[in-house]
Amino acid sequence: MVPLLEARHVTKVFGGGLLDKKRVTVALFEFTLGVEVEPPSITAVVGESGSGKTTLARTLLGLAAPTQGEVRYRGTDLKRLSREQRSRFLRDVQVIFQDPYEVYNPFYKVDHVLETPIRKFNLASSRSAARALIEEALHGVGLRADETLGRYPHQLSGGQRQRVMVARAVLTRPRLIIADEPVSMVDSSLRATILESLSELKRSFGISLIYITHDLTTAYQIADHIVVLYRGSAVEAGDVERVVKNPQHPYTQLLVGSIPLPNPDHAWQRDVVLADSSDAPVVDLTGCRFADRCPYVMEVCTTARPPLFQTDPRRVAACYRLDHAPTLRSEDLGEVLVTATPTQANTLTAE
Amino acid sequence: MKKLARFLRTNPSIAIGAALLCGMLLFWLVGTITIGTSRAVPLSGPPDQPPSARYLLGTDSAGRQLLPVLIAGIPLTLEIGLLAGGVGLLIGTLLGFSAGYFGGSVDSIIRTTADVILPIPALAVLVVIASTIHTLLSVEIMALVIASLAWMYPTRTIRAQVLSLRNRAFVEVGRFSGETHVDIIFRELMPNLLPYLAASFVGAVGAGILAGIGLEALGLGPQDKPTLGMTIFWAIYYGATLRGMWWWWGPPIVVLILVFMSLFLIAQGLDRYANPRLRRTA
Repeated sequence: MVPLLEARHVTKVFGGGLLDKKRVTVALFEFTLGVEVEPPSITAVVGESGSGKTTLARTLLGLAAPTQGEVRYRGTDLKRLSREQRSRFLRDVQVIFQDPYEVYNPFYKVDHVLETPIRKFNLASSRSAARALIEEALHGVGLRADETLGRYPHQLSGGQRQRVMVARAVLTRPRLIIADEPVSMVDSSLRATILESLSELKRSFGISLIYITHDLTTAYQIADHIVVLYRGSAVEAGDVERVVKNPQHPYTQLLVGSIPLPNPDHAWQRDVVLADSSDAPVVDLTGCRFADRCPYVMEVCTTARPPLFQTDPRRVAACYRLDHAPTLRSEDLGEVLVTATPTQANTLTAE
Repeated sequence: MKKLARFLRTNPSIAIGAALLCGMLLFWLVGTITIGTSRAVPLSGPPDQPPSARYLLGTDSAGRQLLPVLIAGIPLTLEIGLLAGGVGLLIGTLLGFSAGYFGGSVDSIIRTTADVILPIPALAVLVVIASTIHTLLSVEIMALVIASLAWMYPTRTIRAQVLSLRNRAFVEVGRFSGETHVDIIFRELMPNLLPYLAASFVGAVGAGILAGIGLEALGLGPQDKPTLGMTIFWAIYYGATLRGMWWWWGPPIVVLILVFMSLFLIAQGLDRYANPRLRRTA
């Protein structure tokens, strides 16, 4: 089956002017991921600043063109979509941005962001139908229309504004929503309600979500699958339960170990050995990109890039310490991120 | 709206400028009704008369009565400014938005063209054009000639404003709400630049009037129209200053000073509104 959205060998390089070829940043390197939306699931993409999370979101959305490789929507390169396909792409794939302030045009009331997609995609035949759609979408994110509409963005709280953006993304009934750090700029007391609205999307509308975050705890809270990015490559991916509870890649172990535990007897990051990466070369694409920080670095790590080792059916990790496991082609990364549907599971047991 | 009203109260320059301009329009309106402009033509009175009860602002050497000349000249001069400034800003807005929003080769072509033409002294080019088509020159054609060299500066400044807006997240949200590039330009970007465009428009009108006066004072304006600039030209031509005929050259200069003052005050006020960093915090 052709995935709804697919990144194929995407490399995105920033910088590198005419005179200064060395100062380039490789935000994504040979990244491949197919996003299946059947059955609907939530996939978290986690990584530290500069790991390429936002670049991944922007290339998947077609907001940034990959330097190499391509992003395909239902098998067609985003750059070659016809007018009709593009309109379908915009309805199928929606977005929630990080900053709930910048996404509003200060000239308009918040109604503008909700009315525009309805008008542009002809989602409603009359004004009352449009109003009903908006009220339904707002209700779905726990907002009341009469308390939200008719106001300017600055008259709403950050949490309300972000929920209006969630409502906006839902209006077109997309198959997939890509949310780039949707709660990182929202007051922490309101995060839970927004995360709740996001996971509600999967349950009530069957919308899949790519949840991009630096926060492993919220990822664990709402996601089904997780992809751990490090310097533009996936280092570990799979079922969120397995990856977070029992991380295999040293970088994931480091990330999980960085979560502060509410336990006074457990010193924070006591047993994490972190190599200095300040003098790391800017571009070093041979070998494992984590090698300069890895406490277990081996000879092979600096000479060859580790493939994805499939340690179990629902998880892969790119580390030579796991080289006893079979390797998985990077094209097939999407396979470990598919939830077995209950019906499939049933037929299997019936046989 | 409330914000605008409060801004107008704390920054009175728009109100003062508008009042000056309205006063001038009132003068023109009352003058047209009570005195009329029929005696603004030569031989409508004895030449070289100083102001008197019969000829309120005197007459010039060709026998034009100068009060009707003044009344006829104000709207003509404003017309040149409005037309030249408006057309120049319109071209500048279209090019500036195209260059800033689409970027790439569109931007390179527009920006380079504007940059190449910008340092050429406009008056020198205007003198050449105006003296070539001298016999055809009406108020409207002169305004268009001025506008043809008045679009570069608005293009550059508007392009810069658009550049600062186009990467804002609300533009990307608009794309995902199904808006086309034209929608984005007119519905997302343009409204945010309205105060800025208004300030630019007033500035462009002033620049248009100034360029018009410059041409007219050299005798390159419409010969048969008593614009303020042409009045100054005739005053120079007939040596009015040497002959002590202050009533000839004085009133048009006073009116022009008032026009420029009012436009400057309005533009300054609108600029403060468009760019909060210039606002006085009082």
